[in-house]
Amino acid sequence: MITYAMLLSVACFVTSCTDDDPVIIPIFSVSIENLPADPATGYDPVTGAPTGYKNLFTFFRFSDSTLVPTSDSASNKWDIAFKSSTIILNSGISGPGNAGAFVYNGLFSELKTIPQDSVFRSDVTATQYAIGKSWYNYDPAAMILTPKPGKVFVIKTANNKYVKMEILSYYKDSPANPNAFVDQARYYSFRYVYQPDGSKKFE
Amino acid sequence: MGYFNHLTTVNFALLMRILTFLVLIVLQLDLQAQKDSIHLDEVIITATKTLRSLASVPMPMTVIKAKEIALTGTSRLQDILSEQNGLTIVPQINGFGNGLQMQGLNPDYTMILIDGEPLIGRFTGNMELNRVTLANIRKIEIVKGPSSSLYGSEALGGVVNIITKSPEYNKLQLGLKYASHQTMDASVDANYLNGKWSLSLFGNHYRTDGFDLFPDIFGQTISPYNNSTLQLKSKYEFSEKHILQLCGKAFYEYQDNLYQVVSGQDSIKVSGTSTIRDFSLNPSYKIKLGEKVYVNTSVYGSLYHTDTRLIKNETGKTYYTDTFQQTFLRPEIQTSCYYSKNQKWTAGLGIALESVETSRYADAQKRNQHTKYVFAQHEWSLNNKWEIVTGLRYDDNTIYGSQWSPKLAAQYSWSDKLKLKTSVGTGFKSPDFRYLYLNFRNAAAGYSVFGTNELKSQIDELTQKGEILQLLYDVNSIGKLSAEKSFAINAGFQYFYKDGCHIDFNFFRNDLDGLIESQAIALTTNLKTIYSYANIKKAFTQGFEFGISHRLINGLQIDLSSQILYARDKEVLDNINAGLVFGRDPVTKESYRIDKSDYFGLYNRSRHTETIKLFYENAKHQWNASLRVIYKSKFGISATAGSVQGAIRPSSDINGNSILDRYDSFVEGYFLCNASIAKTFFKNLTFQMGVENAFDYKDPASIPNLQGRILFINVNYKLFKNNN
Repeated sequence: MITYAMLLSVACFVTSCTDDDPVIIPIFSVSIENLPADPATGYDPVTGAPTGYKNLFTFFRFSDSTLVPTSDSASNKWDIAFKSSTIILNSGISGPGNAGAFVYNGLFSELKTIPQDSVFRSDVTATQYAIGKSWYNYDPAAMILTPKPGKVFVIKTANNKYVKMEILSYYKDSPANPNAFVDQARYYSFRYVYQPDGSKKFE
Repeated sequence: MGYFNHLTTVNFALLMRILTFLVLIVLQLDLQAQKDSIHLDEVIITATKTLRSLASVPMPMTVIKAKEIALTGTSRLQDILSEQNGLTIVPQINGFGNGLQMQGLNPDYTMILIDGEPLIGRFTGNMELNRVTLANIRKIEIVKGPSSSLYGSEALGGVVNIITKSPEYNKLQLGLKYASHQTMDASVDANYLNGKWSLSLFGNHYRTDGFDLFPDIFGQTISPYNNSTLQLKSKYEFSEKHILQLCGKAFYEYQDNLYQVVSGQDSIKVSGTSTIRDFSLNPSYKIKLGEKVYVNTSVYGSLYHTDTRLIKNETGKTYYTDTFQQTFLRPEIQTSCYYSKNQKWTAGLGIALESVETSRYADAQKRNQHTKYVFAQHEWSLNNKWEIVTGLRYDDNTIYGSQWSPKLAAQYSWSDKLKLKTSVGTGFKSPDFRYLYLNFRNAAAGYSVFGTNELKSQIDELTQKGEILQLLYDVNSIGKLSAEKSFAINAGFQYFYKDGCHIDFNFFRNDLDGLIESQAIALTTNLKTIYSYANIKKAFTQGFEFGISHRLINGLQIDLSSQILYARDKEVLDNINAGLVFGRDPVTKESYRIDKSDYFGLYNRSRHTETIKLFYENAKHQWNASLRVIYKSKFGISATAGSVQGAIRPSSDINGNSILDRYDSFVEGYFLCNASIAKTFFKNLTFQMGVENAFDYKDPASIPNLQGRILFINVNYKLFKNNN
């Protein structure tokens, strides 16, 4: 039912100390396309307005780029979840996990190490999510949501690993020039780098 | 035109400038210039509120004379202003009138005066310039740079003063213009002089079918409308020392609307009427005390009223009703003292009483504000070399408190030919009533806007109902709005290289502080955004204006002019300098950092504006002709999309950062070419024909105020008793 394409490109970093004891630290660099975030399931035959929202989050785990069933929402199995333009983390009021995040202003490629003094926020209340609304612009006339460039989510997962993530599109198949009447909204495309060794370095 | 399309903006601007210099060099060879020098003796009122010769005014000025208006055959104010160097008529989306942009400043910041008194009735800051007929205008004086030291609020960027004709001799003048789109413009001007008493009565009627830029879409871009103007000017001179004058004006406009409103998913066909009524009355009494002192007492009252009623065609039910009424009443005393041969003092005081009553504000109550003011100015001619004007004005507003507006302007005559000019001053604009009281809800597009005075109670009410999801801004810090302010420098020279020929150069810089912008305040539970206003933006505009006006003996006049403009948001510049502004390629989705050199500047502003005007007059055979070419280089339209007549007007910002940079989509630069030819018979009957926008240039979504080619014919008949 839910289909999403996943492109997995693995950047393997090899840090060799001695010939006898090679330490391989794989850093995943992943691009996710068309992750559904409660999209419309139908259209009003008269007005053409989208209908049939289920009002459910789509839960996602970074370590293996997997969607997590809603039934596991009260577990540590997920890190981040999407519903419309709302993004929650497995923390605070959203889940039992210890996840956190902040929005870094800069280029995705330039964030090589998370600064030591960074503060990871959790989801405190429904109006104070760790990732708020600063990452997008909404044009009320065209009814188009555009992720702002230069907004990088720096995330600590439910299991204390670090991720940097960038949202690229909010529309199905990432059209260059989204049209609210043609393109389907609430389909996230994003990329992220996952550091499985628990360090704050992304290279 | 095809050839020009291949030229880039910069190339063309360069070409124009090279051409300008070449023409100048060639013209230098022509040493037999016409003797009757025009510009030097022109007497100006707007720059100092006292009479001065144009050559002694130390501020940058443009004067459009009745002769130029007659030669071009233009009939409405915006048509002639749009041909002037450095002035741009900026389209307002959704057809709510067009505004005048001067030195890159928004239309809100230029004061429009008729015979020295302010024209009221702006819609979201824009003054609809089609309201003003050109048929009875003697000249238009344009002062660039802040003039708040004389005129107070609104004269932040400059002043356009439309000076109507006063009776000079007994005459009856009839004018009739017929143009494309069934446009008719008819005028009667009757002047009567009888010893101490003079009277002029002027009437004008204008009607048009409007125009349609999107023939495939229901309705028209501009629906048909007609308007009528009546003006009376009467003067009685009791003696040389006592003069009583009365001016009155009435204006009525009626528009028959039929169009489609697109709002979200819905498109609604609507129809109905809108009317505008505008009245003003201005009695004044001028006394000369002794030899040196003049005292002028005047009262200016004006009323502006609009009424719009639209119904949905399908159901016949009300779609939208809107009423708006603004009043302005201002008694003023001004005195001028010709203290010595070289010094002149001017001082004045007055009070402006303003009110607005409109359905756009909560409970449609009448809102008031008063401004008391006093100003003084000193004009000093020193050694026949220096002209120094110093001015200061104090305004005290019941809502916004007090403002001091100083100004210093100086001109140094290097020689008879070369005059150097500099002026420095501050300007301000008191916030419009709408910033305080607006109560606007657009349910379909999902947002509301509340004026700062309304905001707190609205937010409190919504909070009580549990409809506020999230506060995006501290409501208490919204507080009181204050006036928007500017500080400006103009510096340049005028070089009169020959009789009637001159080169003008002016550098300008306007620093703007506390500009009012809409600010997102809260998000409701149904995800609608609530906006209000705050003094947040800082910006500057700078650049230079350059012009050559050259006269040849055979009756040919050539005017070349050009403006280069840089207009930028200071906060955006700071962010770019901090490396915090980015763009995203819409196709590859890759992000990149925006450089200072990538940032183009504010929306709706062309970097280059060029005009070439040729006027030819053949006195012997009584015919004349004009050719005017106006070029505007590329510009951006908006950070967000809009709609024109239901068609989407796309945003210029395509890389997601809301600012205009080199990666964005620009509106292409364009030319407009206007021409006219006229012949006079029996000294008093003139036939004229002409064309505006001869190459039929259109860009409907981006420049909705640019209709296509317009052809016109004009007949003017003048009956006069004693010809002078």
